[in-house]
Amino acid sequence: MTVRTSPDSDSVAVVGPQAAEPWVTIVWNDPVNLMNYVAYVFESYFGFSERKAHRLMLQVHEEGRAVVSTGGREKVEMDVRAMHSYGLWATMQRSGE
Amino acid sequence: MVRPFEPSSEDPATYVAGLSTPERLVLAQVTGDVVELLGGEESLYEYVEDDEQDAPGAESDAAGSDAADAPAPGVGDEAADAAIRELFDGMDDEPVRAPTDPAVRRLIPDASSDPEIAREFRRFTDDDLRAHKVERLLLFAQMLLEAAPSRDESRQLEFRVQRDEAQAVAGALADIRLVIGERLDLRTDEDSQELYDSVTASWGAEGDVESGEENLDELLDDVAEDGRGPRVFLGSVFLLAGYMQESLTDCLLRDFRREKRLRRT
Repeated sequence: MTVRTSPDSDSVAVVGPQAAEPWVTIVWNDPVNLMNYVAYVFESYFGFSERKAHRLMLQVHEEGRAVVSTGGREKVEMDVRAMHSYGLWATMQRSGE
Repeated sequence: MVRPFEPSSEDPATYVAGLSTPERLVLAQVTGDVVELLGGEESLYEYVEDDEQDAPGAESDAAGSDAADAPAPGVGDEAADAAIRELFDGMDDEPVRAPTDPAVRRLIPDASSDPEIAREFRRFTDDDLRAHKVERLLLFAQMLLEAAPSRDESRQLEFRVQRDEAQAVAGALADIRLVIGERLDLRTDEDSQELYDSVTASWGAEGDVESGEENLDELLDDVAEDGRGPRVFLGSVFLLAGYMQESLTDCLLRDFRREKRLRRT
C-alpha cells in the first residue's frame, strides 16, 4: 500500500478559508439492514420525525443512498462513527462532490 | 421456532422473546465467532472468567470444567502487559490498516472514498468501534447462555432483555447479520429475498414447522442429510437473528415514539 507523504489539497483544506465548508453524511443501501431498524436509528440518533425518518429510509432503500446530515467535518465524523456503530454503512464527503 | 420480542405483561420495561435451547446455543456460537473476527477473543475469555467468579457454584454442572474455578497464576499480569502494549500501539504513527476480511470490513467500513480521509478516520475510531461492538456482542452471548439449558429441544425458554440494554442487543444482532450476510455473499436486496425464499421453502419441506417442532439442531441434521449444505443452515441463523432484531426494534420504536409524544405534551 502506498502512503502519500505530501499533503494534498484535501488535507490542508481544514485549516484554510474553506474550514467552514460543509460536509455531508451519506447512508448507503445494503441488503442486510432492516427497514424498521434504519428508521429507529434515524429517529433516535438524529431526532428526525417519524415521517422524515421514513422518507430517508425509503430513499436509501430505493435510490441506494441518502444524505442524512450536514455540518462541519467534526460533526459529520461523529455522525459517521455513530452510523458504523449501529451497523449502517455510512461515508462522509464534502457537500457538492 | 423462535417467539418474537414483546413487552413483558408484568414489566413493560422488559422485552421478552422465546428461544429454544439449540437456537440459543447456535446464536451464542455465531456471536462468539463474530467477537473473534473483531479480535476480541481475549476479552471473551476474561468475560467468562469474571462471570464465573461472580456466581460461584451456580449451575456448576452446566458450566463444565472445575479447572476454570482457579484462576491461573500470572493471568492478571499478562492482561496488564497486554493493556500497556495496546496503549502504546495506539500512540505510534502507524496507520491502522483496513481489515482484509470483507466481513470485518463491513463492521468497520471505510468512512470515505477518499483514501486519505478513510485512513485518518480509521486511525482515530477503529479501536473504540471494535471494543464497542465486542462489548455488546459479549453482553448478548452472556444473555443467551443465562438460562439453564432444557433437554426438551423444542421447549422455548424466555429470553428477557431490559429496555436499556435493548439497543445494544439490536446492534449485536445487526453485526451478526452483517457478518453472515457477507459470508453468504448477499449483495443486493434481491439476494436477500432469494435467501429468504429458499430457507423458508426448506422449512416448509420439513412439514412440521407449523407445529413448532422444528428447531435449528434438527435443521442442521436435515441439511447434513440432504446435502443442501451450510448455506441453508447459515441462512436459517440469518433469518432467526433477523426475526429477533426486527421484533426487538419494533418494541424499541414503539416505546421511543410514545416517550417522544409524552415529552411534547
